[in-house]
Amino acid sequence: MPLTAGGPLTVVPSCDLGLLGARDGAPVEYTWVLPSIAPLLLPWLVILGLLALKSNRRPAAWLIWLPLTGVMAMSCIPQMLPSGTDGLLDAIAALAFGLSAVWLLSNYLRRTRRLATFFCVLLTLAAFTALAFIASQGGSRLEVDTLQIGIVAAIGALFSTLTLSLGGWLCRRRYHPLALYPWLAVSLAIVWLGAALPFFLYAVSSSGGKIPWSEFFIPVLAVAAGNFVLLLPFLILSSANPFFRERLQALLNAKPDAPPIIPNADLKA
Amino acid sequence: MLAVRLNARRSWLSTGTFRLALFAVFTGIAMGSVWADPLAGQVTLAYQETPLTVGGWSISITPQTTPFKKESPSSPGQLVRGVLNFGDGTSNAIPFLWQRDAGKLFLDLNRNQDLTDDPAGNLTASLKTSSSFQTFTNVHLGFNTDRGRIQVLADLNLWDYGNRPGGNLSLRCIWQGRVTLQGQDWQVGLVPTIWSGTNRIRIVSIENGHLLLRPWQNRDPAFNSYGSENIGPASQKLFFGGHAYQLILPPGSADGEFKAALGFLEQPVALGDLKITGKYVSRLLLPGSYRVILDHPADTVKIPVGSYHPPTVFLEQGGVEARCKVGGGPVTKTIAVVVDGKAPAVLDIGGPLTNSVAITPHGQDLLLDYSLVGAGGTLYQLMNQNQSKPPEFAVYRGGKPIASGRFEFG
Repeated sequence: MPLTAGGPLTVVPSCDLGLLGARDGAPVEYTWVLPSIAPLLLPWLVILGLLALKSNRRPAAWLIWLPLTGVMAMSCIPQMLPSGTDGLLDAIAALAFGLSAVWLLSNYLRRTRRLATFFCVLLTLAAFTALAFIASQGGSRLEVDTLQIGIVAAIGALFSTLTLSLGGWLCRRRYHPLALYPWLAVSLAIVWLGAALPFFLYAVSSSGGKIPWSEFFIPVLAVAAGNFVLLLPFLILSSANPFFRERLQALLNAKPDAPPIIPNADLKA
Repeated sequence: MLAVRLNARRSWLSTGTFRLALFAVFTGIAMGSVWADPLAGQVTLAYQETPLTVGGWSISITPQTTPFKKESPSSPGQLVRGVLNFGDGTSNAIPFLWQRDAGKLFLDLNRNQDLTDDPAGNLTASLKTSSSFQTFTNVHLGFNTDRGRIQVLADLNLWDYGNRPGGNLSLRCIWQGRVTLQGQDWQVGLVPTIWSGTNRIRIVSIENGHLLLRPWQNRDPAFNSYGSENIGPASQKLFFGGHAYQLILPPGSADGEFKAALGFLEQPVALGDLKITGKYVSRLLLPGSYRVILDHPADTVKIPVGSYHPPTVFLEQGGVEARCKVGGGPVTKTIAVVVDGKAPAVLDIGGPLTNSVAITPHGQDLLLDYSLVGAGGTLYQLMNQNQSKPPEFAVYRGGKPIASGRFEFG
């Protein structure tokens, strides 16, 4: 139903009932007040607001729109997900908003202790993801299936944060994007497989000791891969742009790049 | 002496009477004592195998890793070994070995833990879509029931997707025959229920199986336990054709085999009026102290006095059929009909049917829910509906169509 079709509407159902009844049913009148699009705009306005922060008042900061709109465009591709899982697109879009916010706020989230940084990132990602997810529902009552997708988004936020922390720890000695990407991919796989381990053990025990390889590992690894694809545009931005490279290093608690050493340079007062 | 002789004679008489009585009892038991009652009708049912499924049940499988006492040489690939459980207890359980990659199933039909001495249990998959799901057709299985041993024809589906293996059984046989009651011919039939489960005590049952009962002239469509011909459990009181009957199943024969017969013992009952408001009712099943079966009932019918639970309604007109949706609409939810024999009871069911839509806002969307409504708000669904032509909708604003589409299932 297009958004512009507000006002008094008449809906007529029809089906061939043969001699059991008329083809067209009784018209049903309904006055549809167009829902406000403000909730849908809210996440975008929040990102605009974050760009207005002092630390983001640079043209480079506006590059955050690239990964964000990239993920949003991906989530609009029809049949990107298997049938019946379309609702997950809301979770993916919400996580993209959350990651954008984290990338723009990373200067404020970095703490001296890695654990403290983890919790700051987690809270920020969870809060902005939740805000975007609730806004995407257009203010409608949250139903069971919506809540389930919300839980998936929350798990995605937790595991993304865990993975970034793990990646930062693994690259603590020397940060390099080419090393970070595989580490993050492996970390995501480990985190998702670890979370699914109890279900795996239950499946093994209930199937008489048989290991359900294809039924277990393929879906879990597919979800982990999806999570990595979601992170990838933000990682690429951070590799390509010095402004966001610094932001990612803050998120990872990685050591800042050492100043370049210029051989035989004369220091002059 | 006289007195003594007289006593002896009386003693002989009484002994003879006793023997005669014993003979009658044993003969009665052997013949099925119930037939001694003045039955309104009785019928011997003939076993008939059907090309189509008459009913389906899930099978619980208990997997095991320990080999059986004797097994066929294993082929390379994945094996599933265990027991197919048909009801609780072990008397109907069938040990099996499923060679998935070879598409072979070995059933221990004589249940002696030797899987090599059952030629009828050596099966090859007829439908092998993958090694995870296979179908074995034309399987003859023997079961112990509450009315003796039976042999049935079935198709078996087995699957194993890595979790617990599972299966189901599609029955392809029926015991059926013709009975004449009050001058009218009826087709009657029995299909056992192959219950299987773990939560309650369940058995393979004839008494709780499905009963087929329809006018003889309507016998052509294949029976299906989901269809309008399915009356319900076989051991019950019925009211049909204007008369009330106690349905009688004979006990198993002396050798323990199922005795395929049915008796109809007429019952005296007080009748009351039931008024049906809707049209096109082809069959109405009213469960109560008597299960009332009405085929193409008139507007007002006489049925036994009593209280009836929500009915099952089938409509038919011009070759289009519909049935009331299970658990849907006010009739099936709340209305219980009480026929007291004084004022006519009113049952607000039947056609004509109306396509209906309910509209609810859901965030940025409008949800349109389709339903097919009959008299009294009862929900119906078309039987044999063409899935490629689902119900449609059109949206108008100011008399102009602005949107249209098809309803999706779910």
